[in-house]
Amino acid sequence: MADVMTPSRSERAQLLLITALALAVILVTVALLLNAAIFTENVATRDTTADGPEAIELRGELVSGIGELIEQQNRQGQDGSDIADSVESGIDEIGPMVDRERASGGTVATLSHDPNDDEMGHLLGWTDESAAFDAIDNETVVEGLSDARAFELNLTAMASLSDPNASQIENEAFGVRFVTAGDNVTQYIYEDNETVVIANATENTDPRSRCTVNESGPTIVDLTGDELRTDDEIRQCYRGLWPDDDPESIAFINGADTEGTFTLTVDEAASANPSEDSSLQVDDAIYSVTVDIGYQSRDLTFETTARVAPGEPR
Amino acid sequence: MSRLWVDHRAVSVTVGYILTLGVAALLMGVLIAGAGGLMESQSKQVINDELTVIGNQLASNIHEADRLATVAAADNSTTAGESGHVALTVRLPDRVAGTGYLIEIENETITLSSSNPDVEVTVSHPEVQTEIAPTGQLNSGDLRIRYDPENTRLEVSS
Repeated sequence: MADVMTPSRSERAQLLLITALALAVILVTVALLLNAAIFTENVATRDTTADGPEAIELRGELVSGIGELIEQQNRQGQDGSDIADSVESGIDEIGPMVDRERASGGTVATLSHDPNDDEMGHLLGWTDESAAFDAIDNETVVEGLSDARAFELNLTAMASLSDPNASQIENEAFGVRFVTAGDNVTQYIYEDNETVVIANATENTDPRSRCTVNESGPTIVDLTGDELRTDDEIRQCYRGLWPDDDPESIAFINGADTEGTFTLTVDEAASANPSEDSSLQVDDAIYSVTVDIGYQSRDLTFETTARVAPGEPR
Repeated sequence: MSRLWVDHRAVSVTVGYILTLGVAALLMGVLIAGAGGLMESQSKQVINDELTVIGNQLASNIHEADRLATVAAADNSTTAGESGHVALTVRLPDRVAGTGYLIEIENETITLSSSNPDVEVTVSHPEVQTEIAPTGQLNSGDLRIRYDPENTRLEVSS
């Protein structure tokens, strides 16, 4: 029989040793799990997304800024080449400014522009506020249209109709007619009991009220932006003012009682038809420019080629 | 030999020792078995939680890449080009609770699985505008999401 009491035997406390080892492993595992749990909590509450919103914001800022630059230069009434040069130098100035601003946040922003990709066009403007639109009454304002943008009417006077029926609207209200490959679409604009109404009609349907705004001073009708604005109110018309099919030409009808101004930018191939005695002015303009925009941070690289044509229909 | 059966000296000491060792072994065995089971269940719970968090992180990054790809694709449609470039690195841990894991991205779900212990977590991600190319199973660790403008789809690789 083994002498378990003999102090010199080497198997002493083996059981305790193994158990202690097992317990030590368990404790280490507990520590590991606790660590992992804490890390999980930490990660779960951390914003781990890359800089996507900043990249989109940068693109938006640049497109908006360059759009304003184009519109500002188009309004100067210069030759097409002078406008292109001014826009080119303006973009060259914007690029380093954006890069410097973003560098302070540890990101790289780039902007480049190839003038060969610029699309030239015409800026149509009716500038005489007191001249009625009948100077081009029943005439085509512009034809051979491929692209049009920033079509905005600023109306100071218009036909006043009280609860009109369809034929009254068609015969008396000022209308902007879009001739398209499909049905022609006409937006009639009139005043009805201190409310400015836009009624939409096609060749086969009677005019139907599409959008209204309370009359208050001049009314701005943004046909490409689907918006009505007065001094007191802005009313969204939600894709209600521009036709679904691209217009091939635009005409004004019943313009005798309507006064105000308008601007419209069209592509280079389109031909404006101002009557000799009308107030319709046609100037060279840049229709659109194309820019390369880049954004780079630690975890994100975003590059896109954006076409800037401010006020183009959605 | 017959003397041994009649000699009872030192028997109580031996029996006492055996009993002590037996009780101690039983106690420790129960302790280890209990603690081991507890550890395994807690490990599974921690891995499950961590894989869920990783899945959600990946989903938000996929969503972000999708938004950027949508912008690039919209720009491409107006410029008739294929120049949009989006590359996004998703920083993910190599191991969760000491074990590696696999990631599989499908149409509207992300499946993360670890083999030791066996845990599988499925996280849904919001519908994306840009198609995600089939990934198969990706190893744990950092992932890279890239937009392919030619095929207008997102590619995820490890």
